[in-house]
Amino acid sequence: MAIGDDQVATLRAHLAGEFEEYERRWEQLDKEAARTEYTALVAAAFFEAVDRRFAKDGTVADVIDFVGDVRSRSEELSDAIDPRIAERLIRHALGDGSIGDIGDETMGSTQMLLLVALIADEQLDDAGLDEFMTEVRAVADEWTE
Amino acid sequence: VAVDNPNSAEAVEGRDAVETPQPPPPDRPGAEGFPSRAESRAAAAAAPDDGPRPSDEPGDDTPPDTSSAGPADDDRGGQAAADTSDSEHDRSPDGQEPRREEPEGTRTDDGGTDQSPSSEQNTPDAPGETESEDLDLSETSVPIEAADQPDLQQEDVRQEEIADSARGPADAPGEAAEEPHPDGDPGPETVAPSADESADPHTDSAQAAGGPEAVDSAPGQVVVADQPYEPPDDLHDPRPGSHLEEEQPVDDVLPVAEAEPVDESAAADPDTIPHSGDGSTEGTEPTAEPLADGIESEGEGGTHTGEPSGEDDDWDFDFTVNEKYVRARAGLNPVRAEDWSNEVGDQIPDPAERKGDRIVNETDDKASRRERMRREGYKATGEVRDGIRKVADQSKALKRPPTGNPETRICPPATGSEARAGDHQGLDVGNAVTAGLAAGVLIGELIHFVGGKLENRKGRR
Repeated sequence: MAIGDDQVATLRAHLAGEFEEYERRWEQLDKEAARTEYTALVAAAFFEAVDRRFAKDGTVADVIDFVGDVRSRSEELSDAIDPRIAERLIRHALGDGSIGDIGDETMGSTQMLLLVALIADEQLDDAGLDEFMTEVRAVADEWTE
Repeated sequence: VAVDNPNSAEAVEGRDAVETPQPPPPDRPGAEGFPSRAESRAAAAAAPDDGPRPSDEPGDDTPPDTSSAGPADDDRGGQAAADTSDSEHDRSPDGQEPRREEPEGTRTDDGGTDQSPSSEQNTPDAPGETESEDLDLSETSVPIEAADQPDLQQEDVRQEEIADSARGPADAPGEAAEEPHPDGDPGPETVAPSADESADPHTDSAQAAGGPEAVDSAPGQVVVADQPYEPPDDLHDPRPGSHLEEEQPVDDVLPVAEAEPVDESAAADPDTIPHSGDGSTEGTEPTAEPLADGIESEGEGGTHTGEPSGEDDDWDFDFTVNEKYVRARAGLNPVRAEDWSNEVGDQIPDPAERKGDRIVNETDDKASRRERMRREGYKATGEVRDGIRKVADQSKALKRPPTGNPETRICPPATGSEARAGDHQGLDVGNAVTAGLAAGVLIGELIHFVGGKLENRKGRR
């Protein structure tokens, strides 16, 4: 099943910080379709964002520093993000370690928060964000086939 | 009278305190009644003719000894003897100084013309006192050599035998002087001068030197010269009444030997040997070196007294805490390493977790990692979806502020219609009052001026 435009637009609005747009689009999504397609789109986006940030010369220290920085941005984030799980998810995306023991909800929420933080740190403009979403969509289409 | 009176020394001391005898000037040895050095030596050489005078020997060297033997309060007798000897030296053989003849005439009764410096020391009382004082000093220095220098002691004993043979039984007076000197430490320094006491040329030289070192070397001479021979094997004299029973061990003596030479360790100080005189140095040098060595060997021996070298290997018990072996020694037993290897940092958990290492393996291409992510990181479940949705509000905090200079303020552009007139300052009451007063003054002056002009015109008319 191919990833729909509405799902891509919803995630883009979320990553762009357009939370009103995101809320509006989220309400319009098919929740059953979102269970498979939107989760795939988020996982693919997380993988691409981690690859852009740490694949070249990222180290464990960089991962730790990043997670700590994200958790320090607000108390809610500090409570919502388990640093060990966050580090494991990032390192797993880089080909290190395993995440089989992490719960689904925890994995989904943590991936989403880390993704937003990674994109926010990238400071992508609209074109860059569109390009990023295009790549992510292709990966998600591959995963959901 | 003065010879037999034990208090004569004090009397002499008091007299000398009044008279304050001056030492002969070096350039004028015979001036003002002071005997020249040659005269003193000649008198000393003539002294043995009177017979064995063992008690004279301490007298010759007693003055410097007692002066350096100890504190002034304890050394009254020694000081008196020192003063006495000084007075002896001050007396010229030909009696050029009548002022000094009166007190000394009593002393010269026994010897007549015996004006040698040692003639005065035939008095058993003064030397006895000084010897007792010196004996205490020698006692403190006894263990230094006695502990670890048996050879030295043997040599000292031999020298003491020679000295005793030359002395004779006249040493009887004075208990302290009677005490054997087992250590033999002062012996080497004292025996040589005692043997050469009759022709003691160094007495005057030592006194002429006047240095504290020369005085310090004397105590040992006085004591040991009068000590009867005692077998050296018994380093600690067990006889009752002996001061050696109260001797302090090496711990107390060793620092004393390294203390100021003015103290009782002067006899053990090798630096004092050259000042003791020409004849004494020959006998003291062989013993002075072992003396210093003895002190060092004492310290070396102390290092070995802790534990035998092979004792470490003989321990059969183990130190355990909570049934775990304690690391008691540098030598570790690898077999028991697990018993005490619960320390933090012994093992590196995982080489891959080391900080600074690159996470991504070169062999892992992006496609393989992506596929791995698909298999484990992507789960099409409602829980994942709910989790993504749940953090939507929290992700708002991750929104970074727009880029730009944070100090730059964006102000709305000013248009002509929105131009605001400047503020006008209101009228100040104080300024108004001031202006009114100034105006009133000016007006008054003007009126006065104008009025004056008008009167002038009327007056002209």
